[in-house]
Amino acid sequence: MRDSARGLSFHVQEALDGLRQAVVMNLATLSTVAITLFILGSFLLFMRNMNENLKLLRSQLQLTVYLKKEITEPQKTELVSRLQGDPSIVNYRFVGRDAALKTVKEWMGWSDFEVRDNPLPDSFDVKLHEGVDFDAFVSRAKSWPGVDDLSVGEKEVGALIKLLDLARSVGLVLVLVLGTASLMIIANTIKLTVYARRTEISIMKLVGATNWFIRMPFLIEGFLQGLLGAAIALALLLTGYPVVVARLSGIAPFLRFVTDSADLFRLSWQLVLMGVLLGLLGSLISLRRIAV
Amino acid sequence: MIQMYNVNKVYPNGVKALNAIDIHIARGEFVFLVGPSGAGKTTLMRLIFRDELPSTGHVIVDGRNIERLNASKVPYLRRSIGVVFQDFRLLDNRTVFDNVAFALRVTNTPYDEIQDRTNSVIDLLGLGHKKQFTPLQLSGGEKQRVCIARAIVNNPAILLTDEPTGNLDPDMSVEIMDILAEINKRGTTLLVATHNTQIVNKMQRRVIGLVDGRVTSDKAKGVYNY
Ligand SMILES: Nc1ncnc2c1ncn2[C@@H]1O[C@H](COP(=O)(O)OP(=O)(O)O)[C@@H](O)[C@H]1O
Ligand SMILES: [Mg+2]
Repeated sequence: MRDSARGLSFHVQEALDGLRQAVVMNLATLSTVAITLFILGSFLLFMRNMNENLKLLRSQLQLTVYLKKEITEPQKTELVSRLQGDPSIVNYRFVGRDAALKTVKEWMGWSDFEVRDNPLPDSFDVKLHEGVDFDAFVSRAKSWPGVDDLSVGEKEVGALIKLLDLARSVGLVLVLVLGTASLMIIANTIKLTVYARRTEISIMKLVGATNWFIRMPFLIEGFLQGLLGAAIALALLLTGYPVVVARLSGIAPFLRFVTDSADLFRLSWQLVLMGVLLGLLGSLISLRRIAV
Repeated sequence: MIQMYNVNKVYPNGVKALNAIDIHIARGEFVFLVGPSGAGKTTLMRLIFRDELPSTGHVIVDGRNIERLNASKVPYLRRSIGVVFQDFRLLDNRTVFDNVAFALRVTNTPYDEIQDRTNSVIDLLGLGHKKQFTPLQLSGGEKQRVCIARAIVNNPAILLTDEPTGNLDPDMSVEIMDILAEINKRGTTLLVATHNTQIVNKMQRRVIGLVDGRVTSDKAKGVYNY
């Protein structure tokens, strides 16, 4: 027990020495890793939030059938029986124009405003079965008596999905580029440490230290750089995120935000894992040439 | 202990450093390796601890064929071979004790054993009072003794010393040679590459002469000659 502890302390001590010996270089490396992981974390948070909101939109996938102002009672009865009988419809609900205005005001966060002439007509909220031919339903419903127009929410959702796909691609490329840069910078920093310790390394080889024993301090160095970088990125993210959420909630109260601590915890250790992986991979790259 | 069969060594730059070498060194032997600069003495030693591989031929060390030795086994071969260079290769930022203990620390030796063996080897080499000095505070002879201490601290079966007296004055050279003879007397197979005519002649041991990568003479109880 005691001996293995001593052995470990040899490696940790060497790694810490390595970090100390190139303070400036290590600060540069550390900030690169931290920035990379910060951007990765922001990106992950952004995607998580967008997906959440998309899910919300999808679950509310409904059309609004606006009625003509001059609709007659018999037309209304006829329309209800059509709604009742249409196989594409899951359910429908009458929304009076006053109720519609109230909803809109809440949605936009304008509850304080006084609207004099309500521009909204009476309407039906209609929820469709998943997978029905949307356009076919719209053109059919337009010919029903008393129907003025239909809102086409699905198209907006489609646009949003495209936007999200784009954001995902851009984010992915960004993270890949930054990740590669971090990797190279870590590898270079460790290469410098390896160079500074070439005498030690040559003696270690001479007296029969194994390759992994020789590599261990450098792996620990990379590991620590990754871990520390992740810690910095996380500290920034976890303090910054609530502020951003508070701001955005004020501007766009209809958006939902992921604030579940389990979610944030998962993100935290995803970042730590990425950091450690970057660090270890970076040092492995620079250690390829240390061999018997 | 060490056998070379028809060994040739050509470096990547085309220099032919060793040419058809056949050498057999028995366990416990004391062998001088003499020859002009560039004869291939250092190369021959580097083959023994597998710092280099032969281009053709076979090198067998303590029953192990070094060309066929798995890379993961190389460190264990090296633990059975001590190496001392002319240029010392000590760590200037560590004490004498730490320089010697280094060889044990990096080979997973238990802590108590490191302390015991390092202390006794340092005492054996008469450096007990300089344990906490750094190499920069030592004379050339003392530095060479630290190197020898580091090379023998894990009781290697073979000790290779490449021009161990090359940087030392005559008195110190004699002193170092006496220490090496003492180590050999304890059973370690010893190979000494040297230019020191006086010492070779005085010691009356086996002398192998090397010129241009070829063995030109090999005599038991020989004199400096190649
Ligand atoms: N790493 C190397 N790469 C290329 N040539 C080398 C290398 N080491 C030694 N040589 C050449 O091999 C020959 C033998 O060198 P060496 O074994 O060092 O001789 P010695 O130790 O007897 O002076 C010399 O010509 C030298 O220049
Ligand atoms: Mg030489």
